[in-house]
Amino acid sequence: MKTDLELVTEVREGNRKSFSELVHRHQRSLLRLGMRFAKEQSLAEDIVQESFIKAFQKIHLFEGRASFKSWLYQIALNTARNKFRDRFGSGAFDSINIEDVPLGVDPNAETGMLRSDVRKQIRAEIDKLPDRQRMALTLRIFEDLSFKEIAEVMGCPYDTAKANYRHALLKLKDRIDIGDYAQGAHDEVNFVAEFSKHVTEVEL
Amino acid sequence: MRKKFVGLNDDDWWLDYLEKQVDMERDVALALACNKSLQSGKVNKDRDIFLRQTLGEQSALKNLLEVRTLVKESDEVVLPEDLRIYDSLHDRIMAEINPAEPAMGGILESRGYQIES
Repeated sequence: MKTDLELVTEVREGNRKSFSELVHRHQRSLLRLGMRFAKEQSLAEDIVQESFIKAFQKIHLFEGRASFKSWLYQIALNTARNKFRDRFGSGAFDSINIEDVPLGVDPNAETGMLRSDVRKQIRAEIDKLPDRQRMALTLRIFEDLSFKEIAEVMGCPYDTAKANYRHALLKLKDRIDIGDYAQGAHDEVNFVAEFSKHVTEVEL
Repeated sequence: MRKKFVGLNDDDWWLDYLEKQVDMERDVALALACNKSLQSGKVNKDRDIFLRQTLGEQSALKNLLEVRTLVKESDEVVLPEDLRIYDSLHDRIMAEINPAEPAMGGILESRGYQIES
């Protein structure tokens, strides 16, 4: 399977099928990102569509220092920001910051995994986090980006991205009442088992 | 890119462990190399003591995995399952870019040519 970078090179040489492959690869994760900022799926799809078109038009500017995925996420975040400005005009929402927009969720959705009050508490606490901490947390936990990719998307050093994530997690730990949901003992056993396995492998 | 391994008492290492971004085999080998008692003949007994101490020292981080799990489970964004949505989205994107030729200036610029306006 070709790498993103190989496909980008082919797109630059005029191969649109390679761009089609890039769209296939990344449209789901980009749609998920879009749905965090837009409650309506159609609006999220618009963000994805515009982001890919911009990526195609600007592909000569992609230098390959960051991953294509990180670059695409940067474009999508900017697109979402502009989209909100376009949508709400220059009135009360003129100064809207995409990082201030609560993550787009359906308050009535049922996950079946958490009591709604705990889920609401977590969402509320996430929304209270400073922008960059919330962004690092969102990109890491919900979007499964590596710290390197988060740093690229946020335009900051690796250690800063990691520190933002760490501070976010520690704040949430202090603020969220884990209560009956604790699974500490179970996790500790898992860690010991995993660590011991590696110790044995190294010793052998 | 990642900070140099300094031992299992390093908070950053635990964060990497939490995020599954450690090379466990390499780091365990380094930890063993740093801990002489683990290199002695009483490996099993010392390993248990070492693990218990390490876990105990990391009490501030022990609940992070639980918090992470709760945060993850609080995510209510659900991607559509209907594959036709993605096909349609893909087709719309490709339809938008297909009529347009790639910007020649951009291609030439990317190859180091200067474009005069």
